[in-house]
Amino acid sequence: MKINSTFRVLAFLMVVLIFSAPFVSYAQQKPIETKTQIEAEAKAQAIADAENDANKTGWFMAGCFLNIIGVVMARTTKAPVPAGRLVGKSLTYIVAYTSAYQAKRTEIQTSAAWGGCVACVVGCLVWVYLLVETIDEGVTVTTSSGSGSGGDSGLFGGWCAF
Amino acid sequence: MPKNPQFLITFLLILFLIHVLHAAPLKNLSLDFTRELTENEKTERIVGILHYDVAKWRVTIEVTEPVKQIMVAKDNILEIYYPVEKQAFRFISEGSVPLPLVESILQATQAVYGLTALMGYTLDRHDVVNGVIYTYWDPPQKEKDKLGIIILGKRDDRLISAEVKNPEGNLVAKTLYQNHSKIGINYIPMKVTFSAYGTKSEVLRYEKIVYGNPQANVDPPNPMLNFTIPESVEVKEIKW
Repeated sequence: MKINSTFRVLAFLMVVLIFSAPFVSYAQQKPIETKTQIEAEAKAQAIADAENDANKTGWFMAGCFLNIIGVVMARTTKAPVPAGRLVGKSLTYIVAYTSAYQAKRTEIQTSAAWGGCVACVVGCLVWVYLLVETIDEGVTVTTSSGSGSGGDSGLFGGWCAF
Repeated sequence: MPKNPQFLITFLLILFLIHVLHAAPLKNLSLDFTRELTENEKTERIVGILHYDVAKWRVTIEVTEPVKQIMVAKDNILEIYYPVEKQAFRFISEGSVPLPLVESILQATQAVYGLTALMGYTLDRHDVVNGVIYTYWDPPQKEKDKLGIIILGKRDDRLISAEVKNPEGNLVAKTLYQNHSKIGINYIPMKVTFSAYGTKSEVLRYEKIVYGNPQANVDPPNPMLNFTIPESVEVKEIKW
């Protein structure tokens, strides 16, 4: 009878130890995991918000019309602080969120402006190429026809086609 | 008829004073708030007190849950102070910081809800459906490629709904204003629900703000209206 009760107590203790082990481990890991999780969550949210908030079309147009000035503006212009999204957030969250938001927003603005800039340059090159082609055609027509009036009409026709 | 006419006169005077005080323009306002935000299948709940100084356009938010936090927004500066951790941030923006949580109050205190003065919208037309006046507002010409129309619903002189559409005419956001309370000369909604929609009309974000315990034009003003971060706390300044 005495052995039986000791056995029961030991068995109970063993069960408690076995089941408490994961909780002890979890409790030790939780603060680190939570901070990492908060930072990861803040960064993910900041990237999503920055993508949502950035006016890509506007910065594309700025790059297109202002070229390198538009790119510089995109790089230096900062959006207003999204204050509503920081209400009730922890210190860790705000540090992670603000740096990620600012970086992503600048990246999106700058790449859109570069896109506009490149599109403009490509557009200009295509335009110049077509212009040169048209002038060449005009010159060819002028040379082959051998008359000034024919040359004029060829050039004018080329412009119209362009 | 009371036997003592002085009692009646005093009673009527008190009633008159109460009416005059309630009809006075809004100078400052303190409200308890609970904000529930559902996004990406997660709901977070924030509880606190909002203090709004109308003349200074200064908002102080005292958050009590889930963290202790005090946020002050004015002009281009946003300050966030953590009283437990004794840490603070000061964000200095190039432009003015949007005042958080007071959009609905700001709208209620502005003529035509600030659409004309603040945003440059112009009235296009109106409809009346079941006692609700719907007004349709066009965005400013230069913003028409980015902004769509706004439809405001108004019943009994109170704003009850606002719908925002994109330039293609699809609904992008809808706000419902409920449980209005007359504060000063304005009707302030005590419950505001906001839904943001995606391209397939799915709800991307749902926000519910419930205000309570309104205290308007308190004299002397609540000290939190002029809250400043204690000098002993080092403030991390961030140029935004």
